[in-house]
Amino acid sequence: MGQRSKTSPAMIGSVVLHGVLLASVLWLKPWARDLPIGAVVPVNIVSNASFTDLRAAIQTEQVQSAQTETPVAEAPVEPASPDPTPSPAPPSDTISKPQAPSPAKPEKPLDLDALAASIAKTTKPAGGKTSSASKGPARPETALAPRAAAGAGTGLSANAMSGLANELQRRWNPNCEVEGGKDVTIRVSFTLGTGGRLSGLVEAGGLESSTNPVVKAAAERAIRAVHQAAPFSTLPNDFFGQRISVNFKAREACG
Amino acid sequence: MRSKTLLLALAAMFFAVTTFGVARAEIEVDVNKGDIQPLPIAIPAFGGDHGAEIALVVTNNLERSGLFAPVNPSAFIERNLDVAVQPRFSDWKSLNAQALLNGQVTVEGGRLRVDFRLWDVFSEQQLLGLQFTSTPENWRRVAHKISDAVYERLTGEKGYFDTRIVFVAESGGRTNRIKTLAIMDQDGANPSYLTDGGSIVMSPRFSSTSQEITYMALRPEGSAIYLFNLETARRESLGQFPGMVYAPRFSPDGSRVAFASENRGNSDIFVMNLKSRTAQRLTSDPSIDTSPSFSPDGSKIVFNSDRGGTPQLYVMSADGSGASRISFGAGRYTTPVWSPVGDYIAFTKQVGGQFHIGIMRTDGSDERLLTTSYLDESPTWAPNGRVLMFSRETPGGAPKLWTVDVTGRILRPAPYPGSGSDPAWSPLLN
Repeated sequence: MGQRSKTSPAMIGSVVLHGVLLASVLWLKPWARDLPIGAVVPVNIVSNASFTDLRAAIQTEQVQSAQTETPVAEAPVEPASPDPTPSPAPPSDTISKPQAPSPAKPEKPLDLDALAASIAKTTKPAGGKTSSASKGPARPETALAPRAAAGAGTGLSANAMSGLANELQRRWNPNCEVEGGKDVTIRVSFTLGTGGRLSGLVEAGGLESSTNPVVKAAAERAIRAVHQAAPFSTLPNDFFGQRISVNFKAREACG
Repeated sequence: MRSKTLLLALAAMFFAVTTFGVARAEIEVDVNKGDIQPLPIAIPAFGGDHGAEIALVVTNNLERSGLFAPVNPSAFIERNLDVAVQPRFSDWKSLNAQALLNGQVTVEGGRLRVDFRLWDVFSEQQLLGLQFTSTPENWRRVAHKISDAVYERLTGEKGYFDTRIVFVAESGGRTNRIKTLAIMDQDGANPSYLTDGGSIVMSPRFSSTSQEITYMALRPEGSAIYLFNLETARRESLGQFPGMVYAPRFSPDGSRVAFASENRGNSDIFVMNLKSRTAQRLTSDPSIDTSPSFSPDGSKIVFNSDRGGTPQLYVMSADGSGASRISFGAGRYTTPVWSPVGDYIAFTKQVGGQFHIGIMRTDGSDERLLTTSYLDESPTWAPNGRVLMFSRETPGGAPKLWTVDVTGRILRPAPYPGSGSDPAWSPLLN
């Protein structure tokens, strides 16, 4: 009887089962046992499609009319007739840039300051047209340094200047919260046509395509302020045809 | 005579040049003030299935950031926009929307495709045109990715919306508080529990892949640090240690976990190599050293220690050498966390009976307290390093999750209605 109990298949099965159980316990280790209590929280894949930039938007008829509105609106700003007139001017314009300072130096003793001041009022319209036609893509930095800030030489009133600044600061929404956002100064240049409309591009000296995304976004915000404030119809006629540069200073604005 | 003629010619030339020069003089204006406000953005419902829901998620994300002011949809003039058609800018200008986001959802062959465009309303320019594809049930993630793209394009900083928060969900009274490990999207959606509440869990932290969490669990037999894989729900312990182990945190490359181990009243910092499963002691000071947090490049660790008398912040090399104190203010500094972009260290500060969440430069300079409360603690960084989440407790109340930006101006409750503490923000999901 005792011999039968030692060799019975049930006993052998029991030993094998216990052995397997023990081996599995040892193999799993104690810390791995109290497993999946929580839910599986997979991250589903979201991907950009093979291309990122969508094709250019198709314009509806309405949109097209809106788009053509801008050029149409600008057309009177840069009167088509003056354009041909100054067409000889652009060459002289470009030539005059380097020449302007050089003759001024030797002729200073001739008391030309008074002469220049008196001329300023009489010659604005013609000069404005030529500059707006030819200077669009010009870099403002090169031309600005020698020029008088606040329009001293142009005879523009301080009130009008502060009015212009006021119009812009009411629309300028700098992002002071982002890192570096309050450290930027964005110089935006544009030309005003008649009625204070924008004529040509509004540029930020290339900062609008900066590789620094914070600077790029800041430049776009400054440009947006100019677009939003336009047309500057309350400005005196003296401003129309003029190239204007605005320094948007975030450090002061953000405080 | 000739000299007279020459002089006249020169004078005439000068006259012309001067005249021309003056006329072309550029007007220069300085603008030193601005209308500083959240950027008004219009986000009409996208076309197609889930289009309205996607627009709503994007709207809420951007609004919650504090940097955007979504325009009320009831004011919209142009409706049913077509993503392939340029919008009528004049309609949006009249609402003073500075940006406009429109999109279209298409479901084809079981795949969800979302095309969207971001417009600068006043410049009348397209700023962004992107397309995302996914499965239809995954539309929320698509919405978060759109939010990130818009946020980055308009602010210049990386977004943080396609992320998750792991935290300790709390329930029950003060004496029988149940602390359960939980996870949710950063906007409070899709909350789920990862543990059953059978043991107290603390200090969960994400790995750099966002697929793994490390946390500490307190059991009757002692404490243990676990790794939890979110994909498989597999959980494993870092091993057995004498005494109590706590405050685990992954290294940026996910290969190591730093933690604190307390034995006979002395707490020191260790780091474990997850491949070899060997632990290395980093500090051996007879004081309480805890809360290690790696710099983004993994070369340094910030921790807090009371070796100077009160808990202060110290920075050491990742091998434990060269520890130096960086905080010197009054009060107690704890739970330092290195910003994922490396510029700041966030911390909890207790001084004058109040708690604060603060930040300082990594050398300890430029300390700024962002919040003040009865009990604010446990800050965690959004992956863009501009927003912090933390837990706030009011007298007699349960802890809640809050967010604050690095300027301290944008402070608001996190979108989780329940009670939660000890949050950890994931990196951007891949």
